[in-house]
Amino acid sequence: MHPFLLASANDAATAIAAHAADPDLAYIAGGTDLIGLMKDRAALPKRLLDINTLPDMARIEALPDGGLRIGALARMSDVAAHPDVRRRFPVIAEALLFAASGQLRNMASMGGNIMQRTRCAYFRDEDDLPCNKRRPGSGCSALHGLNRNHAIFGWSEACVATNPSDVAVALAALDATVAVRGLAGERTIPFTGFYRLPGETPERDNVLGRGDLIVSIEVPAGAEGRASHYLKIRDRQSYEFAVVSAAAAVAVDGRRIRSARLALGGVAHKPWRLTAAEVALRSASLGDIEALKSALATSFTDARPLAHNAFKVELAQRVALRALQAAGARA
Amino acid sequence: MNAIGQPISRFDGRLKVTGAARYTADIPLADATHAAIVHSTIANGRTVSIDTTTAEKAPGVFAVFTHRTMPRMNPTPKPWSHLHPHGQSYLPLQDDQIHYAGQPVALVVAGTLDQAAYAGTLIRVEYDARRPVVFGSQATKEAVDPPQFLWPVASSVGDADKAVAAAAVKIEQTYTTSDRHHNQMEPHATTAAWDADGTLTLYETTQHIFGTRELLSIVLGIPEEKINVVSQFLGGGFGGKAYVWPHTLLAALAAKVLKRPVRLQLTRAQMYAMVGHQPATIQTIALGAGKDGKLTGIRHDSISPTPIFDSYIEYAGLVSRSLWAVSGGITTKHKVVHVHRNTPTAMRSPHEALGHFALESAMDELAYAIGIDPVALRLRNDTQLDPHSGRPFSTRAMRECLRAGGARFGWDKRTPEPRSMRDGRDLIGQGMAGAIYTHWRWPAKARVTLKRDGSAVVETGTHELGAGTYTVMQQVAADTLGLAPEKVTVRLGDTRLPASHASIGSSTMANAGASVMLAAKAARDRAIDLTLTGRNAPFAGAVRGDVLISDGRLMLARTNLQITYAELLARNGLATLVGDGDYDPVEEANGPKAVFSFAAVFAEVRVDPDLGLVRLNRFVGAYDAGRIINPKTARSQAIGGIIWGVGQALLEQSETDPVLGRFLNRNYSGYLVPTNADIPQLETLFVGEFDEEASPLGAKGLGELTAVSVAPAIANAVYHATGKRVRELPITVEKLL
Amino acid sequence: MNPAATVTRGTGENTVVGDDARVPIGLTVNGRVRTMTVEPRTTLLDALRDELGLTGTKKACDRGECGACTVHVDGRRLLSCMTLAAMQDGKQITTIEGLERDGNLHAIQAAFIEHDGFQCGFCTPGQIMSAVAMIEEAKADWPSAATTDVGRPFTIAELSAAEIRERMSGNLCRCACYPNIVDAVAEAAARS
Repeated sequence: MHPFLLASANDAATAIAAHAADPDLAYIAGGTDLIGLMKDRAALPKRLLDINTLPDMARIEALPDGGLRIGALARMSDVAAHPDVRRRFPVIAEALLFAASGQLRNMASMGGNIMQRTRCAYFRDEDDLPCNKRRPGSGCSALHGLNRNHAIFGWSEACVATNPSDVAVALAALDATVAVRGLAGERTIPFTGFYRLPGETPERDNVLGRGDLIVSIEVPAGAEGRASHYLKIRDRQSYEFAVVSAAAAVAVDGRRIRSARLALGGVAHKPWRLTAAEVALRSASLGDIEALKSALATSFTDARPLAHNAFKVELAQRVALRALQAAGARA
Repeated sequence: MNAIGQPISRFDGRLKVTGAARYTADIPLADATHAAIVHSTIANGRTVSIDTTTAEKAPGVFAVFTHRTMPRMNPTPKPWSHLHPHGQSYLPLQDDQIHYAGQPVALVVAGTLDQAAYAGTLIRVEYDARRPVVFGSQATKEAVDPPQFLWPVASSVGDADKAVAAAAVKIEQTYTTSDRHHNQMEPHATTAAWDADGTLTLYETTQHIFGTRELLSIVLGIPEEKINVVSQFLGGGFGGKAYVWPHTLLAALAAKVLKRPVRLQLTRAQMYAMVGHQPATIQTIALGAGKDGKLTGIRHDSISPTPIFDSYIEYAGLVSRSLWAVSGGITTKHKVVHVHRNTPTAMRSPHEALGHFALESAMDELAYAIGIDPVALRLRNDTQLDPHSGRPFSTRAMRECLRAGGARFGWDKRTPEPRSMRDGRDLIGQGMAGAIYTHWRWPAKARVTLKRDGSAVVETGTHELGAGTYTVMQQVAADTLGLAPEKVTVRLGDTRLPASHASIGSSTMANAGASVMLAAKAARDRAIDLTLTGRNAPFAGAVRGDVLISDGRLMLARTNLQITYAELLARNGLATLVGDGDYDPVEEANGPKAVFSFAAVFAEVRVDPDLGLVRLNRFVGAYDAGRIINPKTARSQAIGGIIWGVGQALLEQSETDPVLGRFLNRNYSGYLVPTNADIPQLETLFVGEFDEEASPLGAKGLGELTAVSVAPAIANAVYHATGKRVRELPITVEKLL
Repeated sequence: MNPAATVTRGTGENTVVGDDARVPIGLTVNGRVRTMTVEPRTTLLDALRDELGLTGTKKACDRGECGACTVHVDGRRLLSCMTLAAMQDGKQITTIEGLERDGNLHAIQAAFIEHDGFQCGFCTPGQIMSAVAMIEEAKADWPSAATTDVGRPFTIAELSAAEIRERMSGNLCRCACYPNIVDAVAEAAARS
């Protein structure tokens, strides 16, 4: 790795001030993504600020209203093992458990997880291949290169990368929010608005800026939480990023869907909510497969596959259907 | 009790489970420096300028080498030979040409690895880049006939074209396999240290210490006796560490220039171009058969990529020369396409694992075309004569492999129609394949020393790659000497020991093992001689055949006379008694019989038809590898081979970017090898018998054989499950949706 | 950086940092307090191997993609290639060399030998460190991706072969000894 300085932060305000003032400073928590990026020279911070020492940021709280507050420094494994997370929002526990490995989940923080960068092989390559996310203006190698693992929704000519986080898909489906502290105080960002589409500036993954520190993730109480499921399709059985994944949560009256929440992973630059399908699914019967299929199809009219990932359009619908059915079985 | 044939736990197990086993990069060396290679980011062209000024001033840097400053090397010897095996003929840092992405363009040596690697990033290379040629279906038009390499490039017995044209049933299909990388857990590493007297000691991750020594001697122009090569524990080889790759030469020369030891370990990403890989193949097979399923003709052609500067051949057609009886004729042919990449190399299981996918898939297609059971089809085409050479097989237990494997699997419960077996929402598929694997014979030497304390030491320059060499050699020596295995110590992996061959092609047990047996026999016979003749002979006047040895005690039959090895040496005032083993077999092709290993393997897959997911459900492999020396380590090799086949069938592929001409995903998260969760319980059966033609130990090759026919068995099972014939490996989701 | 409010490790100019940028740290490794100076960029893996000579922990991918560098930090399994040594200052580290007690192998080490849970042995230290911690995770009611209903408490009795396979999947083995590893871990888990 390149040489850098390492410091640790004792309080959030100082950390935020340092981050705001210094464009070459990066926060480090678990390090499982950042250190890889640094080894591959996709991130070259001159200063690292270890935020693991910040107080009160690793708590996992079951809120009295049935919701959840997850500190940004809580480790993936602790969140996945937490009894209230598992009971109230199995989709969150499952999304975490289907990610990475036991060792990485012990290290990786929740804040870092939702900040992790794309696994696009062109972006990650240490040889600095043409990639607008890595070097703005250098072009997108994947657009006309190998793009099986790339986006079918919302991509631009500048970038066809996907977001790799599993738990972000679950959190997006559940309408979670991200609590961010910045120089101007604390604000709450809905998960659906946290990530950006690549557009002309794919170097920016999300809406955070200098001085922003993720404090916690809040999951609102909802009738859909318990009846939820995360389904991840990958080439091998474990320890791999998703080809396609789906998070589903439903509330039902008998077998009839009262409300459904659905998000896909592996298909876009951000977790992809199936908003049209969610509307179309209202009042559909969980037993009426054809009705479920046509409702899901409404969210795929704007799918734009690339040369090597056309299969994802059909696969994603089947994965969403299966996840929906599994969530429904828990209702 | 005999040690051979017992499922003995590894004698080096304790070293391996405690972290005490020292692999190449673990060996402490005072004063060692660390080197990092800067590699080409383009695949074709030349370097116009290389600015090293900033790097040279970076902290800790001792030297930066480029093609302008690296000492010159001698060309690699021609023709290519296993005796001095270069991985590729194009040598590093000798000129400004770029022939492949990832080619070395500079070497940095510094005090720490971080310093060397970081300084490498400060080097500015300006390229004159040209568009690279890449391998693909369109490249087959450029295929050319290569010069002979390991075997004849083409073969012809009878008239295959005529036989196929006239056949009642014909199968003609194209099958492809992907570029794959060994991805041993241990990255290639080398540490070069020169003594004051000009002797080079090279700690090297190699499966071939003597070949490394000879190649270095030639290319670096130093006498062999001034080179020691050491490889005592290897973190996986699989063929990829059997040849000398460019980085080893760079480390040796840098250490010479700097007069300090240089340690160089490839990064995981560099493992994709600094060393070899298994090339993709495009194979066309034509089978002709009668309605009874008897084969009348086979035509098997294969095209694979090779670099601009070498002609590596992947002999995929080899398997069709000898696996099944064919009445009319067999032709095989290999062509290569020159592209911008580094030289491919042997990878478990070279040639055979690729060829079997085509041949045994086609056999399954033939079985369905005729309406005959796939096992019955193989039984009908079984043969005791090698169709290629006309010689009888030394031993061939194919029939027993098919019978025992099928019985254990429960093949008779299979319903043949595709999509006819289900478990809930999943489709179940069952498929099988037969297998044949080449037997290699090499010369090998060993030394066994009986010591005055009653123990013995085995010394031989072979290698421990994970197959259990320390353990099986101990078993062989113990049984031959009549000692408890615990009394035997084994020393391997150093060119200062008696010379042995490359640990490749599943040949170590049969050849290096034979040399150990001969050495132990020589030491034992010298001991027996001492009991029979001379002043101190306890059994004077008796005959050899009456001397029995057990647990270190020599006994004269039908008497109470006995003496231990220790007492015998003491009585004769000897500190040691040495036996030399010199195994020098005739080349397999020149022997009276055709020697091959055989297998029949059975796979059951579960396919989620909606999601296109294939998972292996269970697997049975029945193997004829001659006599099994250690059933425990043999089973481990076999399950390892099966899992290699699972990777080939379902996961592994190194994709080349069509514009950049480079392997993408040069890491374990992009290049998928199976995880624990991908693998169910696996069953292995050993049905072979002692094969005296193969080796004095009766053993044939096992490790490569077990990886050979897994992919076609799985592909055939996928067809049985889904009705979809996938002829392109790996079988991924999109191919089944 | 504001040194009054942060504990700075490392000094001097930042673009090129020389040896003077090494920072002192203290780790308790296998029960012994070890002090050393490292560069901020030194990973825990490199510190263990190069500074302390504990070469049982292996560098295979150096990217968190294989598990060969698994060690325990404060009792948890993690990947030493993906964390900085200086970030682990003051922590309790256990490596493969620290698993034996009074010359006796840990039950998992013995089970790996008995079940032939390795071939070349290069991934083995990581496999064993992973297995030791994984059994503790299962005892602590941690579910896995192989757990059908994560909403229910998990007990060690449910640690089936499928559970072990999934929980051990962060450790690649290219010799591919997986079934034997599962047998070894199952036996050790049943005994513990």
